[in-house]
Amino acid sequence: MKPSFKKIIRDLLSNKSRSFIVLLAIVLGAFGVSMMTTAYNMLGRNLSDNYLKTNPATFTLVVDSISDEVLQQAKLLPDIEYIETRNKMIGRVEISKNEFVPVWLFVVDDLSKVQINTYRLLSGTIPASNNEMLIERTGNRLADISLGKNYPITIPGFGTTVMKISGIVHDPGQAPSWMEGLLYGYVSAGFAKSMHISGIKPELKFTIRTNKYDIPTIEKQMSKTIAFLESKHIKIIRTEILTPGRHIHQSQMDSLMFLLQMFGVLALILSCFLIINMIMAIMAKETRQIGVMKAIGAGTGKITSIYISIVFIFGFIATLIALPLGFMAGRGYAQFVASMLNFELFNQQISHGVLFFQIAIGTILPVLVAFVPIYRASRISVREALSDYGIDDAVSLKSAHSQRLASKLKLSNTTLLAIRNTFRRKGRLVLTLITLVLGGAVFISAFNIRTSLKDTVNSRFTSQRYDISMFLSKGIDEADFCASLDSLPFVSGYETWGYAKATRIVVDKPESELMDVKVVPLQTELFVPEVMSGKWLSGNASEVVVNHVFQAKYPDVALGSEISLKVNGKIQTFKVGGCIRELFSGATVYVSKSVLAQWPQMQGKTNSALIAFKGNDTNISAYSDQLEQWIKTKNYPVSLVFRKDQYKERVVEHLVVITSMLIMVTLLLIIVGGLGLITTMGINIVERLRELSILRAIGVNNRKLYQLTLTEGFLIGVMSWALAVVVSVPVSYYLGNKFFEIFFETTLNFDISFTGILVWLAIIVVFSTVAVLIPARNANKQSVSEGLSYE
Amino acid sequence: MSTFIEVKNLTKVFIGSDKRFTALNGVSFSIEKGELAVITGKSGCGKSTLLNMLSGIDQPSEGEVMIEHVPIHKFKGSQLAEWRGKNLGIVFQFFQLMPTLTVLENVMLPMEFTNSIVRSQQKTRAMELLGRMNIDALANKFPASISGGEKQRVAIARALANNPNFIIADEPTGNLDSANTASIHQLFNSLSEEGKTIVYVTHEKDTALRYSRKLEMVDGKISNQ
Repeated sequence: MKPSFKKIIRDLLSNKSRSFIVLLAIVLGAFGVSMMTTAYNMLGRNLSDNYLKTNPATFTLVVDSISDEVLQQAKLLPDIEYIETRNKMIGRVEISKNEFVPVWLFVVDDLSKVQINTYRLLSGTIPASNNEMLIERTGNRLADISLGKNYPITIPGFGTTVMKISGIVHDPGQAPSWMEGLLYGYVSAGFAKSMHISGIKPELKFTIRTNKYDIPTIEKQMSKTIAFLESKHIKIIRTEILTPGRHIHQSQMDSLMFLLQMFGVLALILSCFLIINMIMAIMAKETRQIGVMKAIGAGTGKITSIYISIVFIFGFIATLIALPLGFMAGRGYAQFVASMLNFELFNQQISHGVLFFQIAIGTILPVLVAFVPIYRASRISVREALSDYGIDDAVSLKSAHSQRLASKLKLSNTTLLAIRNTFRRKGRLVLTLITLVLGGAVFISAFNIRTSLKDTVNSRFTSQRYDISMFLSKGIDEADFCASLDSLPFVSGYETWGYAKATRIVVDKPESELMDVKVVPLQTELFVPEVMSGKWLSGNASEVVVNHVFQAKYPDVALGSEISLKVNGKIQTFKVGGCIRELFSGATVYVSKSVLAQWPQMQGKTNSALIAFKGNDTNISAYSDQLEQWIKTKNYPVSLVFRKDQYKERVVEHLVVITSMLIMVTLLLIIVGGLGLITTMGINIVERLRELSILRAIGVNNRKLYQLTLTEGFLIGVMSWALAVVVSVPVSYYLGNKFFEIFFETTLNFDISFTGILVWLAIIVVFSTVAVLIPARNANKQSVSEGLSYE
Repeated sequence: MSTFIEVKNLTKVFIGSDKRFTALNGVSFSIEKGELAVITGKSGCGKSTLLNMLSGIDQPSEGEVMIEHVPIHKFKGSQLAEWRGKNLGIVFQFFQLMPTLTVLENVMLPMEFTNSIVRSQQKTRAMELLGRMNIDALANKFPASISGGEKQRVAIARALANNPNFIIADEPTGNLDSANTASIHQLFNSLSEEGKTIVYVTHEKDTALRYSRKLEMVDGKISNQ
């Protein structure tokens, strides 16, 4: 082995703490990148894999009715792969006395041979009778639903029956039950017959053989199918094409991925600055040795190659450590997200490209980052290198200025010296500050985003001044309903609303997906809309207000635009008068109650209500129970009862994924940022060991030296903290808004987290004390002569 | 004898923030091949600056430095390093050994830098040099575990690693006791007898008296050749 290589190895081993810190810096950077790219790669691959494995419907047609004969003929159409009817109805499962949970019941022709939107049987058996059903696996986190148990299920308007849970299935095409607040059940067509359920329009699901992810092909194929069905006198009520191959939670995933990417990049940049700082520290300590090596014949290239080899070895070892850890953490995180979004990681491998990228980041990036400081240090002349190292005459803060400042502020000489020392090496100070500011800004940003998220979510719920929203499967007499509600002693207020499903009709385009139409009383007090543009409803029956989700989905619709909606089979044109922000909602159109004049079947009727309870939140459960009892007694055809408190809980759970990731990122940043602080502060002390010894030689005692170094540490720490607070504002504003745009298609209520700012200040104070005290203590432990001969 | 070192009108000016300092002021001299010349003078007289010019560690503001007729004042960074590695051995006052390399490895290091000795023979060559310095038994020890005199012998062995014709010694006995100092002088004498040209810098008058060729420096000039 060449002596220079032996020097490298022994240098690494001789200063174990320094080597450990450099290694840790690279490990942290490589770990962060490895974890995030692993999670990114695994989640991205598996989400679409899971979804595509369900063979999602290419398009859906809702028809008035269809005979088996026509259905069989449609199956023979060219390019049609499968057709299945999948009727959907809402029911309520009574999981315990007066405790109801809504359930989407999917009526399937043959539960054992599902070919479109498939599910996977996890336990139990496929229902053998009409009184058995399958339940989606995430339901047991929402309600205490057990395999083999019997539960009463009410289908509004069609009565109640007892159903046995015969099997548990995994349906990755559905959002988790506990998030959506409803169960997913799968029942046979025989069940619908036995309940005498009528009036449900058959939903025909189609898949095509070729180009199933190409919208024009799907539209063409759907037109052909519609033409065929219409030739058989089948009335098409609604059509639907979901974005092909895109999971319903793709936007959540995209936003999580965005945050992962951004924080990954920031962690990487931070790690790079940390590496630069530490390499500069190493090179500063090696100055004299570099001079000697140059004096005995080594050129700049040779010296550079020696130190680059050290960095490469660090990178290599760091990669060996960081990659498996990063992979495990990334996989753990991917599993966590997968469980949140109801899909499974069938493939727990990462692609070769990602692996190569991770190795390159761990090994090559440190070399690239370290090259400039190493090359610059290697270029030092022999004379400069062998001259007095550790004593620098340059003072940046003008003496006269600093003297004036000192006398004004009544600073001691020690403090003045500390201030001068801080500003003495501007380049080093800038680099130190960049590292610390970056770490601090990202840390505070993570807190700001969390706070902003929380505030934005809270604002959503403060606009809802009710406790319960109730939906009925059909309109009931409004006057009777109100009189009945008036008799409830625990109700402090209520509003009867209207509710319908609609599709948007655009000439020469297929009908839109279903959206909600909410019919609002003119003087609503229980709902305070957050108007983003235009104005709230004025009572004009031809005017509507849309929510931001609608506007994001249909960007062609602006204020003043006319939109055609098909409601109850009838097309009506409305003018858009305003847009409100409404998080955690689908595309919704709000219309004034005066529109009911044009809906004869709803005149004098209501099918939805908002109810506010008396007292505080602690009574909600008890009052809900009494409300359910009232619904039972009155036999109202209630299809859904949403408790706002439970809904809010679920929304918060939606955000758990994000906040947990932000917590993880902040923890990582505490380590990286703190490490950066410790090393950079440490370097400043180590570089001046001789100077400190000179001070001691001329009579400065250890206490004064501690005071000197601590003041310097605090100055740098506090400067970086103040800058980090400033920098964190645009960083968190951009990241938070970008994240929110992807996730919620709207902007964030930006808020600054004072907790984050104070926590970072505390970290800075603690770490700068530790960072300065350790090397200062070591310096003070040295004898003056040792310090003066320090190389 | 032929001229080995020829210095003509050598001037070195250091420019500080508010003043100029002339460390060498038109110095001219020559040294023959195989000569052992001692440069003496008080602290700040320009000895070290002159040594830096002769070793290519620093570049002159004006004038010429010819070593074996090679104009080293015209060389730049890596050219100078390569020249030093092959043609010059330097012995420092504070030894300047690599602390994480053994004695043997320290001696082998210049050979690696210049590739002037076949790799398979580097160890043998280094052991020969250590043997000549009577420290071959210390080959596997680290600098921290040997005495000052031993360190300086290692430094001399390292200076001879690439068999240079020119050796510069900067206060090589400044940190040694009298016994070790005498021994080092002996070594330099024998090297000179072998034909090596040696420039020896010291501020000790006693040392200067040991050698016939003396260059005394005062205020950046040679006052006595």
